[in-house]
This record gives sequence, structure tokens and C-alpha cells, in this order.
Amino acid sequence: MKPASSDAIPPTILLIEDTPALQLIYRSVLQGAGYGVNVAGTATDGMARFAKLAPAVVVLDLGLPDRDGLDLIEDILSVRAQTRIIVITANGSINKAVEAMRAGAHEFLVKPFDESRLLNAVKNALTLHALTLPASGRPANRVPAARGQQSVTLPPFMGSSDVMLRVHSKIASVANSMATVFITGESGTGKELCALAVHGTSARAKGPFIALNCGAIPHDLLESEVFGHVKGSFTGAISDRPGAAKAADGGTLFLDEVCEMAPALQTKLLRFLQTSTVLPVGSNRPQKVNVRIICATNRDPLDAVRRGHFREDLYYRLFVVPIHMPPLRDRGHDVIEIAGSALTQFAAEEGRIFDGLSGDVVDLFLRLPWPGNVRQVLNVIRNVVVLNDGGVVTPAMLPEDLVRASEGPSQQAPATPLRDPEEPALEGLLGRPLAEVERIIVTATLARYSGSVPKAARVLDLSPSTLYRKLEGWGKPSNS
Amino acid sequence: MNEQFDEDKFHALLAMAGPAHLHELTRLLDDDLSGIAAALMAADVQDDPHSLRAHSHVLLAIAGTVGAMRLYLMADRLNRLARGTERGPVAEVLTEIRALLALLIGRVRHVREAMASL
Repeated sequence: MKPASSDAIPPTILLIEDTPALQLIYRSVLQGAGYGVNVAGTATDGMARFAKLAPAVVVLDLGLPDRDGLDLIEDILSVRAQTRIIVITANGSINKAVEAMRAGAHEFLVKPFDESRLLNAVKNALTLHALTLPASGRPANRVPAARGQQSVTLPPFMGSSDVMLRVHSKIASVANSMATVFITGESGTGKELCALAVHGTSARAKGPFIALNCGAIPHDLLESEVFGHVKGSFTGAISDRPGAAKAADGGTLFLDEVCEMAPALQTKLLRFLQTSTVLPVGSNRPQKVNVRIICATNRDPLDAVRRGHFREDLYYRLFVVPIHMPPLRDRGHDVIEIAGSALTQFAAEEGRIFDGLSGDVVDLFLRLPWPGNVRQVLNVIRNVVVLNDGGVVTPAMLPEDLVRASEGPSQQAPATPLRDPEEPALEGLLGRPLAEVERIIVTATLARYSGSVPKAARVLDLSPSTLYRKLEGWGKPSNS
Repeated sequence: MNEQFDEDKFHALLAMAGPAHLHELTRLLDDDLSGIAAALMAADVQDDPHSLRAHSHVLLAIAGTVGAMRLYLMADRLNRLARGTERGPVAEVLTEIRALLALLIGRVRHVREAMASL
């Protein structure tokens, strides 16, 4: 599950952990999921940062060097009672975790670290925190009323371009129906925020909003994640566990990257949509649930159907109300609005003062294609705030590759780059063992993308972890 | 000795760190694990259960996170021994932990070197 990847400013999580390697790992996971992260290594530093930032969620390791984590929980909650504290603890201190829950912690996670459990916990904590905020405490956009309807208030959702106003209007029109919504759009355009907006303006707003990234969960676990399982149904199923569909009962189930779902599970999803019942793995007792489905993909769903990757009957079941999230390059001045707002927020978080964007930067931002969409803008602004002391943001403060990207197609990282003359030609590969050819291709691809494993992996149609495994294998001495 | 190492978990962690943080991650892991190895040795010499408990706590968290499952289990056991919730031969457990820690540190350094040579 992942947080809203959107043009809202990402929420900042305060992470208090004293072991540097774990600090980096937790921080990477949270940042990778789109959250801002502020890190402290001691209780004292953590409390100071909490007082300054007032984050909605704190991830806290109980074993800190300077103070008992339980005392810190009490201090944090005495300052802001609505703060959600997620405690991380090791097996040996389960009793302490129970004490932490009694002291008011929202949830505890047992070490070793598990990425999806951490992200789930943070996401749930943020959702609950948002629900406990007074209405005036939530920034909101007023959306023009669709014909025959009253205007509605959406969660934070930036952008006043014509194309985004049409999106807002469509959300308002569809919110109160039970119709399945299918959101399409490039990565980083705010599909999950759109889903949250549909949920937040519907009659189900007080119910749960459960998001599941179908592409991020191993196929053999996805069925259990969606429909749950009963104790003993497979190795590791040590207790009954409700799935996302049951957890979303009375609310909304958001299935992100739905086109990545395995065919067998597509069949089960179709049955679920037809019957509104879930059958947990290992159970023979169907359970009735009342769930609205919203799904999303960054692919062309009809193309996935044509290629046989996605069931046609499921497609027609889901593709009832399509909403397309436009790429940032088609949203006119929204990029300036988003960048300005991000600059204000990030500067406040880092304790710096910036005086807006220079005219040159505004021109540049309007010219850039922003292939990473809003997420890319937020990363650029975060980079500027972290690496500069303040003042007006000038082109010199921007990441070099961004400025180069504006200098014309020949300077950009090309979608289909020019061939490096030093790369081996086909005739140089013929006659070599396949394993050697593979290594040559991988190495050349990596070189072409300046050593970026994620980019090379994407081109090679491999997962980054597979590519890292290959590289490590090649790096090993031949006799090891 | 059975190392019981979860390669998938280890490589997923490297992938998650990505090129931007891989060097830093392996450096921090090296520092933290080396520090724990030294601290456990000192705690053993000084017969200091408090230090054994504290450092085995950190070790089980790191070992489990990187997929060093045997080391994780042994660190967990040492932690219980140091807490007094389990009785057993601390010296034997420490010996195995030292060997497993050396393997893990070697593995981390190997990744650093492999990535640096690219």
C-alpha cells in the first residue's frame, strides 16, 4: 500500500531512531513512498523536532540512548494528543510495546523491519489523523458545482487549470454514486489523491479508505492481501487475517496498478464485484461486504485487454466512470502553483526562508516537460530547499540535470539514446556465450544511463533487485 | 555453519536504497555491524549483561532487516539470555554470532566494492 502520490504536499513523518543504518532504511522506504521524512537520533532531538514540525505521525524506536521511549510518547501526546505514534520494537521488548500501547501509541511494529507493514501503519495513521482533525484544520479546495448539485469540498488537491477544473467537476459528479471509478494517468499525476477525493466527497467519507498497490505485492501474497486468510491456510498464516476488501467494508477499496494483477486473481476480483462477497484464503465461508471500488493504472487498460494481460469482462466491470489525470505538462500554470506551495511548506520544515521563484525559474518550469509530473516538481523543490540557505530561487539553485533538460532534446536524457560508439556492435557479440552477451548488454545499458540501476532495469525489463543480484554475482571472485 | 541468508530480502533492500543511497547504506551497515561486533566482544570480556542486551537488541533488528536470518535468530537468543528469560551457553551463542557477523560484514563490504568498480 502506498500513500497518496499527488500534487498535495507530501505529509512529513518524524522518524526517531538511533541506529544509523536502520535510520537510513526507514527513511528511504518512507521517502520512496512519497512522504517527507525528518529524522532524529535521540529522544531530545526528536522532541525538539516534534515541537517545531508538529507532524501527524511519529515513527519511534523505543530503544533510544538518552531517554525511555515511553516517557517520550507521553510528552509528545501531551503536546498534541491527536499525534499518531508508531512504535518499532524488537521481539525482546514486546512487554514494553504493550506498555507503549497503554501509553497511547497508535500501533507497534515488531522488528525486523518489513516495508509493507511500515507503510501500511503510516498510511492508516495518516488516514485516522486526518479524520480526527477539525474541519477547519484541513486545507481544502472548493470545487465548482456540477449541474444540479451543490458545490462540494475536496481534500487538498492543487491546480486551477481548465483541465483540472474538469477533473474536479467529474469527481463531484461521481462521488455520491456507487459506480466504480477507473482512474488513468501517468505516474506522479495524482491518481491516488483523485481516488481519495472521490472517497472524501462521497457518503462513505467516514468509512475506511484502503489502498492496495497490486503491482507492489508479490502475486502469491496478493490474494491474501485482498481477501484475507484463515489461520493455517498456508505456511506463515499464524492467525486469521482480514484482507483489504473486508477492511474497506463501509468505505472504499482503491486498487492501484490494477492491470498488474495476476489473471487468477482477476477472476476472483470479478466474482467479488459480482457477488459483493469475499472468500478468505483457506476459508469456505463467504463474507458479505459493502465496498466501493476505485482502481487506477498508469497503462492503457484497453491495450492491456488487447494484449491478453487483463480480462475483458473485468475491464468492462471496472471501467464504468473513467477519470483521466492529465500530465503536468498539459496543466498550464499549475506547475507554478504547486512549486510555490511546496517551497513554502518545505522551507518551513527545514527552518529556512525563501522568497519565491525568480522569473527565469518560472519560465523554465513552464517550458519543462516534467516526465515525473508532480512528484518530480516536489523532488526538485525539496532539493532546492535542502541544498540552499534561502532567498529567491534562481536557475543556479536547481539540479543540473533539470537545467540541462531545458536546453533542448540533444541535451536531455533521451528516451532512445544515441548509440555510444564504444558499445559493442552486434557482430562483436556473435560467437560469444549467452551469459557473456548478457553481461555486456547489462554493463553497456548501465553505462548509457550513467550507472542508474533503476533506469537500466526499466530498459532491460528487469526488476532493480534482479539487476542488483546479477551485478553482485558478477562482482564476486570466480572462486567464491 | 548454516548461514541461512535471505538473498531476496538483501537484494530488495539494496534495490530500495538505489544508487543514491547504496554507498551510504553499505557504509552505515559496515559501521554499525563492526561497532556491534566490538561491543559484544567487550561486553563478553567484562561480563556485562546490560551491554549484551542492548547490542543484541540492535543486532537482531539489523540482521532481520538485511535478511541474515540465522544471525537474527542467534541475536534474538542472546538477547533473551542477557535478559535472563532463557538459560543457556552464552559463550557458544556469542561464538556463532561473531562468525556470522564476520560473514555479514564481508558480504556488505563485497557489495560496496562491487558497486564501486562499476
